Amino acid sequence: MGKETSTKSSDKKFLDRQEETLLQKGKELVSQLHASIKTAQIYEQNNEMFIKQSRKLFDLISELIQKEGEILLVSKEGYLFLNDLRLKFDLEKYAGSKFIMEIFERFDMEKISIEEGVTSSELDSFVYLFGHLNPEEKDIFDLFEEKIHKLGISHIKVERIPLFKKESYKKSLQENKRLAKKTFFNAVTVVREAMSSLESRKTVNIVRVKRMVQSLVDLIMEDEGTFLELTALKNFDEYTYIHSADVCVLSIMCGVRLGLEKNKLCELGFAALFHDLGKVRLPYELINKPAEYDDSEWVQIRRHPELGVKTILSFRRLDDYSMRAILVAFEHHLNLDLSGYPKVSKKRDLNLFSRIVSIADAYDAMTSGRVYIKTSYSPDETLKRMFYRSGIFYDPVLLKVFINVVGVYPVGTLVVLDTGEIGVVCGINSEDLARPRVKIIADRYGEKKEYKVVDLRKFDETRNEYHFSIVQTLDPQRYKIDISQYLAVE
Amino acid sequence: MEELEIKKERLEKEQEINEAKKLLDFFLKALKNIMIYPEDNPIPFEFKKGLYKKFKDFLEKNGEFKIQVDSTNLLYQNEVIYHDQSKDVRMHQEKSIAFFIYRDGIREIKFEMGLPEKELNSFLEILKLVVKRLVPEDDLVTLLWGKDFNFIKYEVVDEILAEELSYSTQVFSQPDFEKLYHSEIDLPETEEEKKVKGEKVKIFVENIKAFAEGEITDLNKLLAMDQKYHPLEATISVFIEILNQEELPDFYEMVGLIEKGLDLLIETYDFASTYKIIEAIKQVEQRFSGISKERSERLKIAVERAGDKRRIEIIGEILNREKKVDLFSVQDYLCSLYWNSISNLINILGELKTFSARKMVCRVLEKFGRENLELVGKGVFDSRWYVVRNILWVLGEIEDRRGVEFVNFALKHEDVRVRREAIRILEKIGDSNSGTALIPLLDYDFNKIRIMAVKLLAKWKVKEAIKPLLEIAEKKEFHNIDIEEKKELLLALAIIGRDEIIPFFRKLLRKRAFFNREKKIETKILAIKALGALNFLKAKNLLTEIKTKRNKTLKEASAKALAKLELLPKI
Repeated sequence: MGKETSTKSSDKKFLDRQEETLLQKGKELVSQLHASIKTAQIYEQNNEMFIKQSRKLFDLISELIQKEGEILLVSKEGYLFLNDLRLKFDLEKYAGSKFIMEIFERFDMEKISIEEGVTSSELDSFVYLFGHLNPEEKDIFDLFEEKIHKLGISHIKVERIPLFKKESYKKSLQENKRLAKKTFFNAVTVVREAMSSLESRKTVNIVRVKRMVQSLVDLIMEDEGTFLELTALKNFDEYTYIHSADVCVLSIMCGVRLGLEKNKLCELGFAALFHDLGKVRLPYELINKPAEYDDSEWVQIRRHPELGVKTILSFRRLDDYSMRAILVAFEHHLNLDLSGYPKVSKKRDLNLFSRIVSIADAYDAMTSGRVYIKTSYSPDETLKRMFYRSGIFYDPVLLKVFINVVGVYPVGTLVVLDTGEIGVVCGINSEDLARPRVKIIADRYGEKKEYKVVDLRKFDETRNEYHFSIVQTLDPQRYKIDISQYLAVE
Repeated sequence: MEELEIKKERLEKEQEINEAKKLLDFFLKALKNIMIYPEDNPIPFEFKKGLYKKFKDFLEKNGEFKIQVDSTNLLYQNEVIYHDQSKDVRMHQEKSIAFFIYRDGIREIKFEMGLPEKELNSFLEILKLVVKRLVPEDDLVTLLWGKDFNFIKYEVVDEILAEELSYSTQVFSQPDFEKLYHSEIDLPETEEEKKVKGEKVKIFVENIKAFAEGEITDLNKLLAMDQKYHPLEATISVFIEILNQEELPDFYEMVGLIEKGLDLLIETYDFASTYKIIEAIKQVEQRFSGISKERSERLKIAVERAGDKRRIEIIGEILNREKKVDLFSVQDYLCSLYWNSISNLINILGELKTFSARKMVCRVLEKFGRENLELVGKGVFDSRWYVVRNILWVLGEIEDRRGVEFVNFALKHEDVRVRREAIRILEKIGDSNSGTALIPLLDYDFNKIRIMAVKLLAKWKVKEAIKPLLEIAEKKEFHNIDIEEKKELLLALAIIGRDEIIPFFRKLLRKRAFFNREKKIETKILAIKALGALNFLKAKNLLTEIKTKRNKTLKEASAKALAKLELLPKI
């Protein structure tokens, strides 16, 4: 029996190791494929750069085929699978994975299978097609398949997304948007309820909180965009609750980029959601005071991290979730150099989650312009200000990760385009952070017009320049522009 | 023809449903076994193996196993394959697997082909946790989510209904686009200007997008640091910071909350964490001891409370109830408490059902006893004999001479098991001065106790024992007592009395026996052996004298004893 168990556990370890190796190779494959397609978009097939990159990809594919027999890369439900194994991506590989999923979607493709015997010239031609076919063309998949056939690529096969899946994917995208909105409002409701329960010394339904955060994690992993819009909406009556939900969402997004495991993301979301819980113990009038705080009021406000710890201790048992929440509640205003509050007696390294939440918290508070930061800044201005304090207040690398999430022109930024039109950023392109999607709200004469969304990545081949570029950002409050009305998620 | 097809299809469907029902039945049996037996038991192990095989076969044949769930039924292809039979609503809710799944909002579960054994086993473990209600702050959905299964999918009805938020934003009458255009818009006039602006943004974006090698290293370090993150240590560091800076009475509140946290940790048997928190409190208390009496006192009270009667009793109940509690952690925790917990620990010692738990508490008492011997020693006054025996063991482990006082008390205990232990411990921690306490035991009813006492008296050469020993040996009945006791008593007399006792031996050996001859000869032989065990002159002379006697048995015994004496060193 003992022997059997030990054989079983060593088998299991062996399988786990094998899975881990495949996972690593899978991430590498996606990354190399991304680099190869990018190279193909710039260089011709006989260019040295292209050939060099393509060789790297070929070597990796050969190695994988030797081990696995064949390669099956599938894009399904917002994830990439290699031979049935779901691939997970960290910061370095994140953009590449998004790019490849986008390629699958744009080419109407669900699967790529590469069989034993594939040659480097087959692979070169295959990759080159991605760089040179226009995905906007009608029946792009048929065209793509026809080219593969014509070029004599026999060891690489592609499979179209079945129509029913495409329809359901479209539906699920819409459904996800609806669910995202609902879950975001759930988050606000959960915070509101938790805070009022604590005020009246009732218990907080932790299972409900966990389920809500888990839903947020799932939805954010599938569609960040909707949540970026939702966090850009500002509501002045329920600032504290919405702020908590915003910080929760932004922190999870940052965690996704860092490649954190789902359970860790949930822990992060939970801690972020309750980072300001201490405010429940401060007078309502103080929290919502419409004017600047005096010194004594600041003393009170600065107590909310410790009060947060106490509040969490008062309603939660000590487990992984609550302990992380305690840590984040305590550290989120400490600053990286510990110059913030509360003052600490010993030097300490801020926890990863506290570093993330402090960035999300500052960003949301500064763009909201409520509570004790009385002046609001536009999202891009906020990022600039935060960037100046990088390494002092905020972890510099995490701040960069955060900007990669929200974009250089975050959703909600009021911009002027080189056409003279005014627009509001309504979505970012992670491939090109300076070229978001913009909803145009006024023409070059200042006239209101039908709203139209333009993608700033759109390139005019004939004029050899982009159709639209941002030339300036503006402060919406100064011109009485309510950004939220242009962002309302359908 | 068509009818035949329909019939065939119907039969195939029936067969599939039947197979699904059998699979589910086996699944439920496996679950039941997992819930009953401990993890390392071979029965659930075999069930799991069997279940996986059945699942594999079913999935290979049918592609998937999809179950719909309602409050009392589990359905496969709209046919009921599990129905809760119970009519009693409460019983139904206690036992119905359908209800457990339904209650948490799950309406459909699907197992897909390729399902690995690991996933199936994890699924069973989750159900076990939910049905046994072992996870108060999770439900089936949160637990399933946490596992992130690839081949088990489920549909959930989310019952949380959020209110639509009414976005009461700042009210702007009319966007002032005109003002905006006349004041701020600063479009680049030339292509060159446009290019410069574009370049600036491009540089910034490139800087943001690209992560330098050093940055990736920093990030990896940060992530690695988080892998090593220890939740409790981090939390304790926060507690310490807050305790260090809080003003009164906020300080008191914080301590109160930590106490509450400790209680909750005990409820979940997390003694490793409670131990660390208590140690941290003691550390902070040390810091405050010379600075703030109020704070120091309050922290001391917190540690005292952790070892009060109620809390120690709760721990006792846990130790009796939960077999999986890590006793080393409990021991660490109990050892970290103050002396006020000693009497409470002695109290639960009598209530603990397992030997290992009792031994652990004894070890704790041993630790406390080294500095608080009296408090631990007082345990011998406990009314429960088994507690007294344990306390004696503890005193023996402490090996402090001062413990003799308590052992002496136990020597008089009415229970023979206690007396026996008391003698054993007395031998361990006492010396010849403690020997007189043993003399009363010579009259005790049980000969084993008497023998132990006699042996120890001999070992310590307790002079005061000569007289009572002689009194026993000179009695007529002495010849008839148990041979072992007789042997030890005579040996003790020889060892303690030496020259002084030779006349007694001479008288005993020379006296002729008419009645009860056999027993008397036995006594004489034992007396010769006793004398032969010690190499001193008078004993040798007496043995030489007896060797000349006519009695063959005694002659031989004396000769043997003398021969043996030659080998012994002279005293």
